[in-house]
Amino acid sequence: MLPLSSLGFLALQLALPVAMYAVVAGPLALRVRSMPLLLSARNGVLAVAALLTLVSATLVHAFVTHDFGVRYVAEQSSRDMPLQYIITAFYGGQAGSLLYWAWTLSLLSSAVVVLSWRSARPLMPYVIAVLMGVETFFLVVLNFVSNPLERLPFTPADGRGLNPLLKDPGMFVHPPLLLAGYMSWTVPYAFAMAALLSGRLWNEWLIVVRRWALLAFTILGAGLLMGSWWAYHVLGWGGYWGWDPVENAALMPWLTGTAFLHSIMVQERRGMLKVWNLGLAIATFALAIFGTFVVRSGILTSVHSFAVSAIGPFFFGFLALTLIASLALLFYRLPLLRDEQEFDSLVSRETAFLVNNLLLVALTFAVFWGTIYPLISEAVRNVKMTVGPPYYNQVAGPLLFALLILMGIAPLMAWRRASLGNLARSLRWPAAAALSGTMLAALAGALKPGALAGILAAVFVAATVALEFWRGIAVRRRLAKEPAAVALTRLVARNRRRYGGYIVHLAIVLIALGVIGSSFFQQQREVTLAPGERAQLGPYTIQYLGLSEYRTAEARLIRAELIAERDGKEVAQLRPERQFHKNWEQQPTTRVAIETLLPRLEDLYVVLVGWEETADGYHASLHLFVNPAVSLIWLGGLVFLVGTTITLWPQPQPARAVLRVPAALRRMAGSEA
Amino acid sequence: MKHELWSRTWRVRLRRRRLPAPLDLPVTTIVWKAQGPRRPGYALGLRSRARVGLWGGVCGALVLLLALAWLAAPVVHADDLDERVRQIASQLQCPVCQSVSVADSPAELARQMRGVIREKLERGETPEQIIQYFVDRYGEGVLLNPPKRGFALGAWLAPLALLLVGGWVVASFVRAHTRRAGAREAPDELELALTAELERYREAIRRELDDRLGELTR
Repeated sequence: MLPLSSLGFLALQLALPVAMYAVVAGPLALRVRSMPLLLSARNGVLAVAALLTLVSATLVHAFVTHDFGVRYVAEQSSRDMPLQYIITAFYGGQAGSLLYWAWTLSLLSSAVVVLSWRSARPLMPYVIAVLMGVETFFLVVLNFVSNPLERLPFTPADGRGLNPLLKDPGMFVHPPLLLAGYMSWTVPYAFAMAALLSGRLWNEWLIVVRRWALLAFTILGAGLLMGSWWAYHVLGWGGYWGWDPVENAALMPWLTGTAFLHSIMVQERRGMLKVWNLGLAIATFALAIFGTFVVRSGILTSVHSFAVSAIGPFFFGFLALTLIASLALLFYRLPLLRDEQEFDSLVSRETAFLVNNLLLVALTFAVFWGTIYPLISEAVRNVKMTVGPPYYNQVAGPLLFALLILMGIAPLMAWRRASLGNLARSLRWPAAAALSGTMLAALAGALKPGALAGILAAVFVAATVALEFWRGIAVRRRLAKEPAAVALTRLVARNRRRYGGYIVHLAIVLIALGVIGSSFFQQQREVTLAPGERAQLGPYTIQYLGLSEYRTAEARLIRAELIAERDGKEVAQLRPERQFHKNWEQQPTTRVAIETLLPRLEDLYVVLVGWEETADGYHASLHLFVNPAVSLIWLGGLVFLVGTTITLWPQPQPARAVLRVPAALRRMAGSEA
Repeated sequence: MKHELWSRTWRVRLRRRRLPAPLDLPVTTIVWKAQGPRRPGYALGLRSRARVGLWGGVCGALVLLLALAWLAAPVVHADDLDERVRQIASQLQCPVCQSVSVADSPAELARQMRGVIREKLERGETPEQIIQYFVDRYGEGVLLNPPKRGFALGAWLAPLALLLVGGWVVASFVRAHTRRAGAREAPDELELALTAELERYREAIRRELDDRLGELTR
């Protein structure tokens, strides 16, 4: 009997012609004005989703049943792995992660054709064509270069197992979110291209694309945060963001996507920046493809590129083709892309959004440039060079500071023409709050210029958001005579986009404070302790009790027992571990002990670096960190999700206005018909 | 004529004036003036200019206090050996790791390198000498921060250039598009005054419209 994976293999092959059919059928339906043909193109999208779901299901089945005859299963899993990691092994390697990309794209494409069918039907033929065009590329790669269901000529007894770094709870969410985040920027791109191809370049595509772009922004943002969380908890170097090429690659589309989300507001309201918005949608998609390509090609060395292979030329070719075709089309449509209105004043919300875009694009470029400059250096003068965190911190720091300040001012600026006097009057409270907050921080001992500047900017933004909420509530209380709590909920519920956006701004403030706290005030020490010995770090005394060894089915664990005291009182028990996984003994992983101590909002973060046997027991080498405010980043992540959920949540449809036609008129209309 | 808007009383007055030539027509403008206490400055019986002064004073005092706090603060010297080792190590890339500095890496080689840095510091070598020592051994790639000279300077200049050029483009774009708008209808003083006065109402209307627009554009 044929194994089930062969069925998946077949379905994967079948998906390719179906996707190609949809690419042709969509625009053709428009040409020959055939609704049935258009519906069949739509059904093609749904069929690709069904086929790829089948493919994914057979791959998971192969993993769960340990069908090591499938090369990918043999490479990524082993018999002794717990079930949850066997399932995450699905996207642990290159072929599987590309399949995951293609599969989620097919699902999202189906969602797009179903949910946006009515609101953007004239665009749909082209949207289908572009979505399925991208899908076709991935299916070509999956079928001909990197097939996850390819069978080995023999069936090995056991597999190699997953890289132990990936055996972590963070793996359940981080890679799928990140890959899905990259993938979902295909939708705004597809709508932008559909607008360009059809020549329907007014706001129609923007209004439909807004929520899809917001969804992509949310997923990629959550993926980035989960990535930081994973790095912080697993990699054991005391930080959460290393400006690693793969992290940079994920950050870039998020930055341009953020710029896109802001600048489309200008077009929606004022009919300006049309070319710019189309360009941003194209650039974001290109960066998302670049990101997928970087993670999966190994072109840039990184902690995350677990697979190196031959897909590089394919991705590079696709990226080049996409960019050239999109930009050529944009250029061809330029005559249709005249702005409808002009700026009324230099001091206006529009200009603020332009500056926001400039800063975000400059930041993206700096990150991009730093990421590829070592490649340029190697190509041009054959000298290896590194562009590391100090570079990014120096370049990104001032830009982020400027962005924060702008975030504090812009929401208070009026559209079209803000009066400077009013603006200054509105800014008094936020400015006073920012100065007082900075004062408090300085009194509390945060005496570093960079940190104080950052705190100033962050408090400023928070105060602006608070002021906006307060004003909105005050208006409702006066006009609708509502109590404050009711006014707040109704305010947010009636303007989900605006106030959800402000909540996202608050999330950025929390993350900024976390980053400032941990990057300016981290304390750390490396110590080697004998059992019973103590070490002092900041206000904490850490006592090492001893070392113990455990064995599980798949790993050997060495664990250090520690007690942390502050002012003579025990505040935490810490148990950092070192794990030696079967088949990966040369690559021990570290399990960091992290304890968040609440009143001061500090993380005690302890890494077991090594140990040595001596006459008086095992001496342990430990890396001790006190990381202030890191938990604010994770809290900010939650607030980010709350804000984006509010913004994304469908607003109830307004009741349709009923036009009462006088009976006489109705009779007349009836007699005519 | 008095008018109630929100909880404030507004005096509404009609004023007749003539427009400048060539539109030499009599027009009626509406002037609103708020009455009664609202802003903290009013409660103190201060006039508008004095209120601005009050706010300026408060902000200035805060800045001054901040500056004083800064000056009075104990200056943190990096005289702690651990801290100095860390400062140097965080500028070096761990040669056997990927994208992790010598300071942060848990790798054995990084630990040895930290030991070397410590020894050399204890022997009295300067940070520059120590960094040069590692550059000589591992090549320029060991530096996490590209040096601001030679080829590596390009890494620093390009983003700055983009920001400057981008800023110039944005500024000239906005100015070009504003000037044309400005040429059509040059606002006179009265209009500016009215714009300022009406801004508050616009804000209220915008808020209301946001409610409705949010519903309609969905």
